[in-house]
Amino acid sequence: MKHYSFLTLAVIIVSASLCISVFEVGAKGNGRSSQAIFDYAGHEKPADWGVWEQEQKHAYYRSLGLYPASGNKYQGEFDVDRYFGMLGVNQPDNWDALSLPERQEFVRQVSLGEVENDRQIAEDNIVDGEGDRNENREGGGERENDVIENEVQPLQDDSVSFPLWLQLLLFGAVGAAIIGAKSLIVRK
Amino acid sequence: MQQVIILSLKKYLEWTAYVIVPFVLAVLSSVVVERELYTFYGTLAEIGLIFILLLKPISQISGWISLRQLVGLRRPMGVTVFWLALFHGAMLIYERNLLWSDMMGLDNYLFYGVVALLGMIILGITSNNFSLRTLKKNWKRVQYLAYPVLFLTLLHSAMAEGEMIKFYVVSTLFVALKVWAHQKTRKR
Ligand code: HEM
Repeated sequence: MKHYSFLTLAVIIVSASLCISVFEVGAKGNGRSSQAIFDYAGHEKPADWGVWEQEQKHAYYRSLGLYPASGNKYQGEFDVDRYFGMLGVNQPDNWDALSLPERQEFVRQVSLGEVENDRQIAEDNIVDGEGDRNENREGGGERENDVIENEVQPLQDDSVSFPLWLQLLLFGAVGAAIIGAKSLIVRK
Repeated sequence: MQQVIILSLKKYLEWTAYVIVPFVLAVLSSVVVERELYTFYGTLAEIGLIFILLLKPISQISGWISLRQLVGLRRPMGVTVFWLALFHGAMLIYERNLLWSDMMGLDNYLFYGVVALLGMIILGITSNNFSLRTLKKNWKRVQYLAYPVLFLTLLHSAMAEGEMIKFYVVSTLFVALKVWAHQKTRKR
């Protein structure tokens, strides 16, 4: 009977990691994180967002000047300083208190106001592109594409860092393997 | 002689399922961050699942002794499939940065993958003698979950590949074999 308690322990460890994973992924997601990013930045969330590929979403964020707050994942947050830096304005003190339409209006005015800014071209491209980004990206002039590529470099984080839930899962699997080995040896 | 082969096969399979597979998957997945690899886990899991579930009806229909003995090895095989599916799902959630909101909706193939994996987790957690004792008659009922898990998996992968034919062919084959086996065992 003894080895079965080992196996049960293995199962408990793995299940615990799984539960934590589920909560982590759930807490991170909740379906509102991309909405939170767009709301806070003062942009409209594209209607067909749900069916976009991950790369497409990230490219779109970047095209708006939205970069991850830390590492290379968004997880409901973006680098606010960098965003306003790219808009070329200081973040208004009352930004948190503004309503969504007010933020959108602010961003729109900034885009319209700063014509001299090199960034402006990139911004225009984006505003035009709201309707059909892909077509715009391919059809847009060389210069504008250059601007986008020069201005908006994706954040490259070469080191792979696993989130906590995945680390737990990986350790859980290794732990289960060790316990499994022990129980198989003990059985003999 | 055959008994000896089956017994040593059982030993190898148990080592594979409880030790080698979780360990290798954990190490490999943390070293090689490649989508193709994680997709491959899913393919292996699916093939394994189909094999395990077809084993019983085919052995009943054919009456081959050696196949019937393999039926007794379904537990370690099932645990192997569980690990493959778990790492397939978890690593793809990580690698593609998926959120709950990306995985919900009846027209989303990821949804069926998630539900299939949940079913597998329940099967995995109850695949020990402790659960067998506690659940008594209900244990068998829990094990019937394997059938919906198979259909959900087929649906998930067929939708992911954009080719539904596999879903129809394998499901029909499975149901037909099950019915045939049922009639054959009843006649005896
Ligand atoms: C949380 C659960 C799951 C998630 C998030 C998930 C995710 C995915 C994704 C993203 C793909 C497409 C991969 C690509 O083509 O790049 C895929 C394909 C696939 N998945 Fe899953 N999956 C899950 C559960 C499962 C389970 C439980 C199984 C089987 C036991 C499975 C078997 C497959 C198969 C066979 C494919 C097709 C592979 C191919 O295109 O050749 N998945 N899955």
